[in-house]
Amino acid sequence: MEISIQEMDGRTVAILSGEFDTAAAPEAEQALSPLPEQADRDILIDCTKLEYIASSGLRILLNIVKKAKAAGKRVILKGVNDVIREVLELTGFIKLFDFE
Amino acid sequence: MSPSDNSILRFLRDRVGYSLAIVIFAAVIVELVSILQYNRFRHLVMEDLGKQSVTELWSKTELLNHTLESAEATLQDHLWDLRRSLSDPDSVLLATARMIGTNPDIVGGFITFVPDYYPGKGRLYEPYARKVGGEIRLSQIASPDHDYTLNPDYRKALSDGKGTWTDPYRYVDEHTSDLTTFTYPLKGPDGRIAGVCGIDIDLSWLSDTLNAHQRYPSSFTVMLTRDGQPFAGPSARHPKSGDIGQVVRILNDSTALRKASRNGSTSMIAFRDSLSHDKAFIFYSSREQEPRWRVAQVVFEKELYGRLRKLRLLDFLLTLAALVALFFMIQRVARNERKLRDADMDRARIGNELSIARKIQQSMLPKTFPPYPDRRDIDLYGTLEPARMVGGDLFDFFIRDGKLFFLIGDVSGKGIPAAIVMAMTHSLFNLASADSDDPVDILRSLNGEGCKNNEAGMFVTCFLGILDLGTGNLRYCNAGHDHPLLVTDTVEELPAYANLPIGTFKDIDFEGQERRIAPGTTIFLYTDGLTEAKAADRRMFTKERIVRVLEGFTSDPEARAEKMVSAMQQEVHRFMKGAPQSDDLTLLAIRYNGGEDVAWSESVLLRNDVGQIGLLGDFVKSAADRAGMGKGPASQVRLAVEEVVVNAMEYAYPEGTEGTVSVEAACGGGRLTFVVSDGGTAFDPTAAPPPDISLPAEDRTPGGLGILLAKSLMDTVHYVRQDGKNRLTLTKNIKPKENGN
Repeated sequence: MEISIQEMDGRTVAILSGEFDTAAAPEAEQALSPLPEQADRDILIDCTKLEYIASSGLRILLNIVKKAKAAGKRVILKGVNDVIREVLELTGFIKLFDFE
Repeated sequence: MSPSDNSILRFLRDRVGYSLAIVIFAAVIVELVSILQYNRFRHLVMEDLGKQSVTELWSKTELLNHTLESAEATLQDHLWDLRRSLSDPDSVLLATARMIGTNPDIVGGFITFVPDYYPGKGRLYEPYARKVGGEIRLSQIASPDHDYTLNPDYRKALSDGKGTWTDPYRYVDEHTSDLTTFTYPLKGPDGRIAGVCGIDIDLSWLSDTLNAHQRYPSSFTVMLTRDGQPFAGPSARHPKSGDIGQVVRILNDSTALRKASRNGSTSMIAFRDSLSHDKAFIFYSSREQEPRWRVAQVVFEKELYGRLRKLRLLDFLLTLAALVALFFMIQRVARNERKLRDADMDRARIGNELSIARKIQQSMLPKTFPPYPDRRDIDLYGTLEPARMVGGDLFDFFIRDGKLFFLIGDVSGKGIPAAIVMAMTHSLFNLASADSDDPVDILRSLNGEGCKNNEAGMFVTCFLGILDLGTGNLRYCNAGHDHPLLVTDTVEELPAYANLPIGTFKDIDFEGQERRIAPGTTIFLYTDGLTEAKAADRRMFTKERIVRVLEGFTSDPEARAEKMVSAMQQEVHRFMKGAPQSDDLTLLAIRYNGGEDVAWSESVLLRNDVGQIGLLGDFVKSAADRAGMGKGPASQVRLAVEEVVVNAMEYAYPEGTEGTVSVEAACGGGRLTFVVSDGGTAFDPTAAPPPDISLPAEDRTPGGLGILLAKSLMDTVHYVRQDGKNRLTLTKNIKPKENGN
């Protein structure tokens, strides 16, 4: 999985591509977990190129949401495919994010 | 309605009040009838007494009449003797003595001669013969002091010229006696009046005779002379408490006599006794011939009605007793009625509860047939007809990991106790077979539970089979149940060891068996309600008939299970011909059509290292691809398998130790099946409670998501601990036409 983090229109944007499986989780956690503190405003996670996510990936997203909420910021998901959306729905995570 | 009315009504509605009201009503009616009857009786007694007193009065004076008549006759008979003896004054005295000697009632006789009849005897002459102590004394009693010509009776006899009785008078010499005298004019042979002859009758006995036998103790009888003087009445021997003087006064009072009521020759006067102040009646009448003396009978009302009053009191007490008995009877009837009503309600309630119990019990049994419409490998049909509302038979089946688990059982006994044990056995079966596919294991565990607290000593015969639908291998264990029959082109009995039924002994072991079932075979199971179904003439259905029915299907390779079961049902009902079903009847037919081909299978062995997940991803993707799954389902399968494998890698082995996780993939029967197994600590991830997915972000914890996803994304996820390994089987049905999701 590849992760790139950019500033776009004053927002922090994380672009995820590939498969967010358990093996990729440690690396992704390292890249993503500082975001709620670093970001000035809301965090946009661009999933347009993300094919797959396992529960270990969800766990990392949950941590980001918790921290962002505490800091008064929103976490917005963008371009979520059907498979990932189903996973978010099944786990109730769909209520934790804003979507674009 | 006022409150007091309310309370009266309540009291009446209350059972004691109700019975009491009935009894009081009955008491009033009975008492009214009794009063009417009493008055009627009084009237009858009075009427009766009137008639009775006439006869009584006559009978009482009968002896008197006889005495007077016989005395008169004696005198008449001796008139010629007296007349004959007139010539000689001395012989006249002897004739007089002869006369009184012939009649014991006559105490004296005399002749009072007209003055100067015998010149030699002086002016007056009265020869007199008298009985004294059994002998007759003769004397001449006329003297200047005793001038009989002055006696009115003497004069009357002479003037009337016929016999006359004097009123009784008291005569005193040595004795006191009450006498009455009959006088008769005596004529000489020349036809001239010679004098008056007479006889004396002693009436001293009359008082006793009249009062000796009174019907009522206080009653008395009194006789009155023509001028109303009492001469015979209560005597020293028969004293009476009533005021006799008052009675005599009344009988001499013309005003009172006018008020008397007459009944034939008898009259009646009511009065109140001056001494006792009791009401009394005088019945009286006069003699019909001379002397016209009156006889009166006095009767006291309290004695007259005394017996009637006693009877009435007795009647009242008896009635009272009967009413008390009636009260208790009503109470009892009411209580019984209430008991019956309660019993009826109980029966209705039990009936209602039973029908609910029946629904519950029926709902435990499989009821959707065919149960697996999509499967070609298995065709199955079962029925259970309880003999009563609820029964002790059971059957159940389910498919897990490509294996059909089936059970048929019969609890000893019938009705509610059997139904409870049946329900217990049913849930124990589900529980015990959830993580074992060894029939012996399952029955052992059922037996262990079934023996606990089995104070009623109930037991269950059952047959448990586990049919591998892929291979046709049947593992089974029979605990004292009827052997199933196998229907192929013949009908044969499935050989089975004789294990004891479940619930008999705690420590017994079971022996299981195995047998390969050829495709096209039907396993036919039943309870003894079938073999022992009774016709009206007590004949049993027997196994021979079962086999005969099943033989009808040996030449029909396509026979469906349902057809077989209904044919058996029809046959047994035809046999019973409406005779009552005595036992639960359960039939289960399982037709095995042969395993669905396993197209292919492959496996991968992973170390307990999440770094190997990429390898697993490739394996699952390739399997899904090979099975022809669309991209969406393939992704779902991959996620599910990854989740359970990661779970096994992280938790099966203690941290720091190495272990393996094997993943097998198999495709066949329209399904892709993964079996994830590890040799680590026993752990059933499916048993963990699901996470609460409705919580807000700050309250969510990351645990439990993996197994939640696996369960959601796969068609089945099932865990067993087998041969020291955790085995998790996940299946996903293949829908080849769909692409993506």
